[in-house]
Amino acid sequence: MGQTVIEIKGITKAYRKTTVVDNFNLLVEKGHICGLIGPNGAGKTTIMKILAGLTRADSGEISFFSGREPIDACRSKMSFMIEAPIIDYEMTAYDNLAYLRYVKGYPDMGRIDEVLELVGLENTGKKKCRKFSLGMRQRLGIAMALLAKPEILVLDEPVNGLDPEGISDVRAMLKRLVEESKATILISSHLLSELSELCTDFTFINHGKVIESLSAEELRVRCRNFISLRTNDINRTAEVLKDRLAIRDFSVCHGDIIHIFEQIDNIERISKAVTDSGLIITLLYEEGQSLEEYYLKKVADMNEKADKG
Amino acid sequence: MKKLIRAEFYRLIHSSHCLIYVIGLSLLGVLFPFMQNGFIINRQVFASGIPTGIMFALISVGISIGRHYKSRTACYEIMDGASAHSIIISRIVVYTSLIFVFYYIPLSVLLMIFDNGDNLYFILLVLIIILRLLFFTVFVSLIFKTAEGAALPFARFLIEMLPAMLYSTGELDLSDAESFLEWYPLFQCLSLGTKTVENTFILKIIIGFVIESAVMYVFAYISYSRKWNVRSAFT
Repeated sequence: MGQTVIEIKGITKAYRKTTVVDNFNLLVEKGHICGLIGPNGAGKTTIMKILAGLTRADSGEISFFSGREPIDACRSKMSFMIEAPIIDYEMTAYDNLAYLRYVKGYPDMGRIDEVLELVGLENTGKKKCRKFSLGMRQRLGIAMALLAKPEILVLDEPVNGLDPEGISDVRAMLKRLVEESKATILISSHLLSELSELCTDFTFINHGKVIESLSAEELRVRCRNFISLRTNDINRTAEVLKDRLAIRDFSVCHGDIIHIFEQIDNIERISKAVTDSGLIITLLYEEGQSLEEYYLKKVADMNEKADKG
Repeated sequence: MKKLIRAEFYRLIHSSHCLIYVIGLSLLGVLFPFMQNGFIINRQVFASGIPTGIMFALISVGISIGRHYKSRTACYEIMDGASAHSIIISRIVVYTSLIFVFYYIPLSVLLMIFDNGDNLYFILLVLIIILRLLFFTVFVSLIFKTAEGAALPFARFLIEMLPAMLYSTGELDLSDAESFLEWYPLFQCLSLGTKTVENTFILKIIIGFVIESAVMYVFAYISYSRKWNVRSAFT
């Protein structure tokens, strides 16, 4: 296990009588891109505001960089983009970045032009931000988050308002940031599809609680398609799969059902080989779900539990 | 704290001409006594013009700070882990230096040009009164965190100025309440122009400044600490 750079332990936050974050736990390792996925109102923004210091948690603990330094001191090595980009609309894109450079005490003036070019706003010149489109404001928000080369980047729905090309650009930009500077990113979205190609880890959240935390690899395994097969003799069926069809990637579930993860397109060939061996097939079908379906099912299951409770 | 001061100056220069408004309204405040009385002017006229003059300057200060919160750019200071003390003191440094340079110094120079009397006490005591009013405006803006927060210092001016003006023009007999009113900055200002300065009066000016500023500082700090998870120690 790598170095933990963000640790959230049992954070709870309530506004009046509504609990928006409920005993929330999260670990993010250095160099990882962690996706915080949840429907609108799940508590993602509140968690990020607590990390940024913009809201106080009622209980629980947070620590950055394994707790080596006080939380506030760590924040100078982090960047946040929470809710809408924080921009002075009466300033130009350059001025907004220059202002932030002073706040963060970042020494390199040349970095401003660098990030403006990176997000495609290098030609905005003296245009005030109030004349920017939603997409341009979003791009400027991302540029401001990237300005001081942060070690940890916390982004709340950063691709909101961007066109497909913009979304792809942001993904590429963030991947490059992680590869080049080993930065760690915590990114939220209500759409898993937006982050599925980007994140190394996922945490699903609903009603302020963690539904599930898993790695991208684990998620892919859980979502991949497979063939379910049940026969009158499960051991002989396994031999047939290995010897006659050269299938290695399968597993036996519940004692009598085999899940086959290879040759999914050859369901007829598998059926023929099994019956030719004198076995009787009692169940044979293909199943699986997309990432989005998996996530929506998890959310629906949690809502159902909450309703029953 | 240096970086916060630099950042605030940068914002004032580049955002909506904030700095121009602060300078313009401060200089307008300095020239206010001349608008009332032309160039035949003395210490008493200066003293009666200061309350309105400083009001112009401080409203621009309140609006400039309020805009910082309205645009949410103040959140960057929190997200960078700045301490509440650094944020509050940096605002005090920035706006004190602006009001000092563009209101207090021109006012003092003009007073010395147009009044040949011994004005050293007057100039020093006016500085304390101006600082008291400035700090009040800055702290109120930090507590309210909106441009509308500038309305409270304005309301204070109106409440304090009315009895002070009526008293100075002789339309209202407040001789019984005089020693009480001497604690209030606008009344202090008008009294400085008309009265011989006594030690108890000087003490009231100094003590009023210290107590009000300390209390407002504590309120501003508590407001910051409650709203945001800010650092309590200096950076």
